[in-house]
Amino acid sequence: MNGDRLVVHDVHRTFGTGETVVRALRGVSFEAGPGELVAVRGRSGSGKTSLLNVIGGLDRCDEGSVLLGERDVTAMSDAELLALRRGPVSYVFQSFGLVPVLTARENVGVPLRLRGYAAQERERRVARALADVGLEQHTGHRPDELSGGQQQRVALARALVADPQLLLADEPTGQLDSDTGRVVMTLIARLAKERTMTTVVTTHDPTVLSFADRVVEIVDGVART
Amino acid sequence: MRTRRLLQRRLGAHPVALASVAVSVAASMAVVTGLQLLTEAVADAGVQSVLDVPTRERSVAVSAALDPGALSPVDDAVREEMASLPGGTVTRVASAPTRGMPGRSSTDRALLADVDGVRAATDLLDGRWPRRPSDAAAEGSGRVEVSLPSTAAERLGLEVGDALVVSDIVDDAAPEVTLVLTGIFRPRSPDDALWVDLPLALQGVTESDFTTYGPFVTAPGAFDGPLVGASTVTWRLAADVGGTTRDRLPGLERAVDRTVRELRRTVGLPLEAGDPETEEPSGLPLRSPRVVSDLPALLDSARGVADRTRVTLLTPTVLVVLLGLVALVGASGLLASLRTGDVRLLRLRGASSSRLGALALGEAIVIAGAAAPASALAGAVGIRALTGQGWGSLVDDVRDPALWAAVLPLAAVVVAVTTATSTWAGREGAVVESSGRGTRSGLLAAAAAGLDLVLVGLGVVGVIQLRRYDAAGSTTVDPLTAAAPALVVAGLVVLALRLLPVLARLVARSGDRRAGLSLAWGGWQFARRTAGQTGTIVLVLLAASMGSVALSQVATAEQAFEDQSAFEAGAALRVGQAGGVNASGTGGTVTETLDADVVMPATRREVGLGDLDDVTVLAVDSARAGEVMDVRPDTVSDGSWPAVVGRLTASRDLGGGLVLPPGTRQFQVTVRAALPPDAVEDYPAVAHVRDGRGVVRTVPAGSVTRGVSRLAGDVADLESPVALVGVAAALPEDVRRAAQPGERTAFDVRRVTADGEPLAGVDAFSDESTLSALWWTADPAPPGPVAAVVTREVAEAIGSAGSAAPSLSVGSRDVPLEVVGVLDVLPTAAVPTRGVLVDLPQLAAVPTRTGGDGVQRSRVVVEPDEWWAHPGDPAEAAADLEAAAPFGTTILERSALAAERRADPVNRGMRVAMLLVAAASVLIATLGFAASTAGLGRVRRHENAVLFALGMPPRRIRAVMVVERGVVVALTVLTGLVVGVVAAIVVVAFLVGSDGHAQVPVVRPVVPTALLAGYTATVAAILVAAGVAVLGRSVGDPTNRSHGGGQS
Repeated sequence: MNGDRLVVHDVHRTFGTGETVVRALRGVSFEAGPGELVAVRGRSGSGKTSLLNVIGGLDRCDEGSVLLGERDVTAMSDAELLALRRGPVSYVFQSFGLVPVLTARENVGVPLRLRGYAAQERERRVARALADVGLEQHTGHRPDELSGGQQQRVALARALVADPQLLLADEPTGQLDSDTGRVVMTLIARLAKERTMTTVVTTHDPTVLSFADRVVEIVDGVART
Repeated sequence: MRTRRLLQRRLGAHPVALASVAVSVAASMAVVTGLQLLTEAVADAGVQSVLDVPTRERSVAVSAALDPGALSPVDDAVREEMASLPGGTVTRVASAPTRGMPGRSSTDRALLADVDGVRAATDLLDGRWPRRPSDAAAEGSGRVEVSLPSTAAERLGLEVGDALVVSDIVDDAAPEVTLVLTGIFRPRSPDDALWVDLPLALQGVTESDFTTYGPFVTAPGAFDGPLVGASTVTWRLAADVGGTTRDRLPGLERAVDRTVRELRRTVGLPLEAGDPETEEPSGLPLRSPRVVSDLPALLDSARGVADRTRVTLLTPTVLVVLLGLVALVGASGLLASLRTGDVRLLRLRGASSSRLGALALGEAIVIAGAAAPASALAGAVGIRALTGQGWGSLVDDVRDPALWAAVLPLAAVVVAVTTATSTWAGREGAVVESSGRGTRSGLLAAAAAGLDLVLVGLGVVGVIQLRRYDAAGSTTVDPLTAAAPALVVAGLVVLALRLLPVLARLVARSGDRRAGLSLAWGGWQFARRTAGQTGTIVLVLLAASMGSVALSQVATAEQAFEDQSAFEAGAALRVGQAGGVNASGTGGTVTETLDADVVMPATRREVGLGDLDDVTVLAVDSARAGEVMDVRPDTVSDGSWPAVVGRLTASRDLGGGLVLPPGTRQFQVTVRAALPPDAVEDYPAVAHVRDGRGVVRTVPAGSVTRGVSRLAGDVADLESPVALVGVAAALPEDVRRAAQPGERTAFDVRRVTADGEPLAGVDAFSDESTLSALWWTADPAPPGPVAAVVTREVAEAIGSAGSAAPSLSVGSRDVPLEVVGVLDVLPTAAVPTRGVLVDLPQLAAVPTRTGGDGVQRSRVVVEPDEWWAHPGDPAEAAADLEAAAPFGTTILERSALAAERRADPVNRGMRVAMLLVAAASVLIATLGFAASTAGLGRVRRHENAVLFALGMPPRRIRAVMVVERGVVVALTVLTGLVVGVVAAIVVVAFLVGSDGHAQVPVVRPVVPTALLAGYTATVAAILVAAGVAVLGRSVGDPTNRSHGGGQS
């Protein structure tokens, strides 16, 4: 599957009002093409997650636009944003975001259940996604029976199982040691290339930057490329 | 001060969760308090119900033989002692030995009585009350003025002004006394204490071996004169026990014991029955004294009922306490889980465990302090509303120390449990949620360790104990026994915790195979987070099971009332014959008022059979018994009731008789009597006729004189075909006295006609005569056993008596029995397990053994004195009979008896208690479920945010959680229903049978399927609705929440 081009243009996002106002994003712009892995770097509180939320439709910007191919994410209705996250856009979270009582197979299958896949097709895709991340031997394990790297790989499989065009990974190695982080990033980078999937990864981990095709640095809500 | 500020901040931190804890506590405490108040009220009502008995059973009676002139000093002494029991009323009846009635039958007797207070207890219908002669000369004239009940006067044919001579039946030399009738009266109420010692006044005449008329009531003091001689005097002290409450019982018991002892001392009896050492001679002029009272036993029984009521109502109380504790633990745990972060922060800042404990204790005291007065008020108001009491003394209720004696210990328990739970949960982390394999809640771990089996075992032992106590009628019940039903429910609930995860896994598997997420999600969450939801599950399980037990108890009690009323009445309607002269009219009134087809004539006797005493022999028209008699099917062995009782009809052989043509209005009998020359009177004769049902009746037939007489009897009203089976005439004592030695009588029937048409077959009859009576009888049934349906106890007694054929002595007959059917209990029998049912027509045809090899039809007619019926509208039929039946007729209507049982205070109280338990179960479970659901919504926000990020709409996220909670509710409520039904089958029979009254036939547990289905569905709907309402608020919009990423 080919990813869509991501165009982020002059995005502003402000939280709070009056004296407590926080200007998280102040005119951020960048682009990412299909198969390209863009790393968004910045210190804690610099606006990385806010940017990712706006791109993924979890949040709305005050100004600016986010285009995914021909689609203007910032102009979408709530329902369209939900549909966007069920299909073209997928997330990987820093703390994995796995449901603890579900097995790896069940966790990965959740997005397909949301899209109404029949059981047989769902199981086929889940098996393939888990194989892609090298966890075909751990399909029946629950998160607390897996290592951190394995959990993140399950999260990656869940993000990829519905064949997204845009993968958003928020500090994917934040809770992993460097070796494991490298393994996970290797996997993300490989799959991004194989699937020509547009990928945006937020991080402050230098290791991750080495896997990026391009790095966007955010300082106090302003992007510098 | 710092602790106080921390406490204030702590209390304000989670107001909704804190409020849910307080409301749960207040609701539980209010219900328990209400049950405590109800227990007191029902126990008092139970005491009053037991004490609401006829005068005989609540009185102390002293009797003695007195000579003329001795009455005054004895009367003063006895009355003085009786006055020591406050509120009692004293009656006195003196009766003389019965006297013969010259000129009438040798078996006729007259009873003279001096009744103190007769004027107040009767209506004088005619004449005036008798007066005592003013001087001794007049008293010696041999004339005594008397008054007489109307029933006796009518039977004797006496009117005011008539005189009747009576004679001493022991001393022929004693002068005869002439009784002058000055007045005719009628007792005002059959319940008056006077008639306990003079029941003859209600009927006017009693018939056994002798026929006794009376009482001929003399003027007060007449027995002290010379004409009556020695008499037996009975004083009866009727205690006023109405309105007695449980706390007044001990004082009343002491007063009764003291009075009985003093009376025994006064009349010269041993103070301790059977212990001559405690006897002191009496200075009073009396002989053969007796002091008799059922009152101590009655009071003991009342105390027993009060105790049993308290124990019985302890069961719902324990159940609600159990439910409340689970709710409290759950709500407290939830609150503690919400405070996990706060507690962690406090620890990081150096707060010690003791300080955290102090905070938890302070919070618990605030909760209990707020809940206690609210629950006290709510409990008092609730019980007043449920029991229909007024509101006048509500303030007194709230001030009642007993109320606070119930509330304050509960508050202490609340403080202890809340503190412990809060401390434990704060240390262990959230109790609402746990995840991953291998995590078990305390209860699940307990179940795994076999605690559930131990609880069930203890419950079973308790129930066995309970039944033993119940059978023995004991009032001492140990704590294990009292808690047995609660233990059974608790054990089954914990046992069900083993089952629920299995069911949840099945649901999860089912969802796993489907395309959507909702069902699979619900199944996964429930199956894999059972431990975290144990509190909620147990709460809902308990609520569903307790409600099921409560509703089953109500249904079982309702059925028991119907069964017991059916047993007591025997049929939809049972009419008992009026006494005295009204007797003959009762049967006619019944058959005229009701359709004859729905009426079954019957009669009963109490006899001894082998080693058994008090065996009730019920003779009925068996052809109608199958449809008229109300026999519970499960009490019948070997077939249906109609089939079993049909065997009696099938074996009928009624012997000979002269059958009258259909439509015969009158028969005529021409007889010739050879009597002694001095027997020149007309002697009343009767004919014995068998109606179409086979029931033999006595019909007046005119008079027999010396020589040839024509007798006639009307049979127009009898059911065809009618058969003449005998003619009899009793000869008065005068005939025997006038007869010369060796003189005989003879009786010969020459001719019988029906409406003038001669009938053949007269020769088949046999005649016999003595100086006492003349008889002419048809052939009896062939000798042989009579088919009988007997109770199991009788059957076993007969079986253990060896090979000798069992026989009963009924109405001068020696009736051999052949058992053709067995019952557990015979409806209406005095001792339910001792009964014999025979066919009335067959009984009438049984020959009397006359010695040697001759047998003949009995000359004593066993006539029906009861009429059982199943009219279309029993209540209307009963009302019609009330209006038409003679005075003294007893009418028992089954539905009216059931209504009385329902209205019994103990039964009504238990019903209220159980309905309260059902309602409290729903309320407490709803509160607990809502609180835990709210907590769940908060705890699951992380997972919900992930689902949102994966593209799941918030509305659908809520729907998934609703489905999840629905799965929990559905599985738990259904399991609770099963647990409740099992527990109900085990315990409700005891709960129904603990009101202190005999439960005959035995109580059968009733599981009201439709009601329970409705209850279960309602509980589930309420819980789901509460869950939806709570989730709508607590899940909210996850947009602004973290999904596990950073906050940058």
